[in-house]
Amino acid sequence: MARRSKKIEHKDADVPISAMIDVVFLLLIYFIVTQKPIIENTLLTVDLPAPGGKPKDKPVQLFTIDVHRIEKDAAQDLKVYYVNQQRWNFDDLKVQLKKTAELDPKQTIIINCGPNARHQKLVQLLDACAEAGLQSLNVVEDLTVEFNPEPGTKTK
Amino acid sequence: MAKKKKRAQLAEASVPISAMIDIVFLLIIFFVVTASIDKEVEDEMITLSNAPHGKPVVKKDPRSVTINVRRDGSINMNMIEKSIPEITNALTVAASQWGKDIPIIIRGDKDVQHYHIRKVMKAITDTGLYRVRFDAVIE
Repeated sequence: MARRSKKIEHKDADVPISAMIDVVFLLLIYFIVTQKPIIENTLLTVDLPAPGGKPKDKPVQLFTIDVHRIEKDAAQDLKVYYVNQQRWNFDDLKVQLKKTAELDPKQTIIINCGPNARHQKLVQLLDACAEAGLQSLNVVEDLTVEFNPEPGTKTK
Repeated sequence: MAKKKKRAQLAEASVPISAMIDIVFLLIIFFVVTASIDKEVEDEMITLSNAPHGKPVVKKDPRSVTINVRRDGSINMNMIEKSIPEITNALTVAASQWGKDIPIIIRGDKDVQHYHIRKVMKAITDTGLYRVRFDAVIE
């Protein structure tokens, strides 16, 4: 009789292993499926012009880089910039930026960005300036270029 | 003799349940801990530009305001599409609550035209805010 009651107690203490494994595997699969790859982000800092200020009267001695879209050749678009109205290859520009930063890291760089330029082109330039160690980057609007919206994008 | 053989076979077929559960729980805890909860401000439709030399973000200012600009030029904050006057209003409210030094993060698609980014930047300067950052990925 004593033996029988011991057996019953043992049965009560059992954990429903198979059901628990079902739930646990379900959770595991859910987390594996919804998990996104870990991507490291960076934040590139820029200086903004004062409200109401007009970029008309630019001092000539500042390092001005024009960022425009090269409409004719999409492959060349990310490789060509204009510095003080002269065409520059991006690799050469990076070398020049490093030289400038060595002379004076506080040198103000004016980035004159046209409305049609792709955002990637601006970010690529800001990244090159960050790599060179330049700290004062002003992004201004190029008012001389007319906005030419791409098909399927908002015009206002 | 036959009974003994049967028992031996049964023992060979058993799965090491306790070890398996240990591993499975470890994996679950890992995924729960690494699953981020503050992603709802970031628009998944946006492909960010690449900036391999930028400094990785270690700690984000909790007051940061994120503005997403999609490839088609549509702008949203916290996944709610907004016009420029609405963005200006939202920024004015944020500036009055937390001060004018709050960081504004612009998450622009890599192929969006600068015209759309410029509109957001103008709204930021009009509000009197000045700390602007462009979000990019380090690859």
